[in-house]
Amino acid sequence: MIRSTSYLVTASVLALLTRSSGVAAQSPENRPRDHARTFLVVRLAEALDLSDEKALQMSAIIRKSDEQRHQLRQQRKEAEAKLREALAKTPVDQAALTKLVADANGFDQQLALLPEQSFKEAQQILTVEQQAKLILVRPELQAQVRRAIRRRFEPGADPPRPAPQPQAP
Amino acid sequence: MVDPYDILNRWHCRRLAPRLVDFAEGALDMPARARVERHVETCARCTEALAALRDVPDALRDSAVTRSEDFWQQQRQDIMRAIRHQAPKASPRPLRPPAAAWRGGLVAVATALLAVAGYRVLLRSHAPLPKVSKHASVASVDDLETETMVALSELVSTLAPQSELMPAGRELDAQLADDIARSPWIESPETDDALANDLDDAEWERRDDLSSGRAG
Repeated sequence: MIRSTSYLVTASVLALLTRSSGVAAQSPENRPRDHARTFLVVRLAEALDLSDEKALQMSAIIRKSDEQRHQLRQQRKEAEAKLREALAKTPVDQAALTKLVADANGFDQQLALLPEQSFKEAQQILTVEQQAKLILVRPELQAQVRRAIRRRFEPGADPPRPAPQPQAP
Repeated sequence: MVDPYDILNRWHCRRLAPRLVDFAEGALDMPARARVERHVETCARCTEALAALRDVPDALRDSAVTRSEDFWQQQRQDIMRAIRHQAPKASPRPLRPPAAAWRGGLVAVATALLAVAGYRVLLRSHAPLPKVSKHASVASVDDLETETMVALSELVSTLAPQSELMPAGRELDAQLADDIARSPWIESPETDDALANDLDDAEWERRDDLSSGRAG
């Protein structure tokens, strides 16, 4: 397990070293996202017992999904601004507003579909056992992150809880 | 705050340091050699250690030292143990082929002397090293910088559907339910924007009113 785990970390480091494209360039503003992706890949590599190659592929899937999310969020933000502008006009241009609503809703739908898309892509490279582990680890990760953020933003609100015992695969 | 890059690099050092001796001897197979090379290229400390290991006087290589194979094996294990801070393992490392053993042994004894000293320095510079275990090898979410933590929250949301906000079974405990009830904003795009843009109180109130249906 130790040997396997160390290889997984290697994969993640390689994923870091080989990242090169798009938004993920090593600019300071992207550093938190890079760190977060590194963290996530290492966690997934450990939890799913991924090989170096699979960890790299998983990192690519996560990066692609993150970049899509980033782009969609920007578009959604722009759509919000346009909606506010349209609502401020009198009389309201119903046709224009209808289109803007459809656009904004489309961005929301695409954002909502991202997890499904990334999971489908992950399915193509993961064994069924790894897929099962991924399904189990996702909510655990979400809960961990949510609790950590809450502790960070609300100091003293919630004492740290002991880590949950690992589930048998 | 813990820098994941630094953790991973130290992790790599921890894993690859024992192989530097073999690497310096040219005794690694191609995949392992490539792995060490990639790390050394990015790690100044391991580069220094490797340079020290390669600085073995030729005279030492040429001197005829006769030792048993067990001696060389014990030397290697001692070095590895010193590096890893691990207890002796029950199963010994496989021996080299006899034909190459004497030469490898000479190199090993020379490098061992340098390696022990070199690695002590190396290990001091790397301490404390991360624990090698399933749950301690990676920094906890709490150790991340705030910006990274927020980015991670967004990243996880691209992997997990919203339906998993309320996990079933053992995860659905009072603590988690309370988390969700008190922190619905964490998963909302509006809140992510707010965290990113540092919205003022009026904007927060406006968004709270919208979400609670109080907006007129």
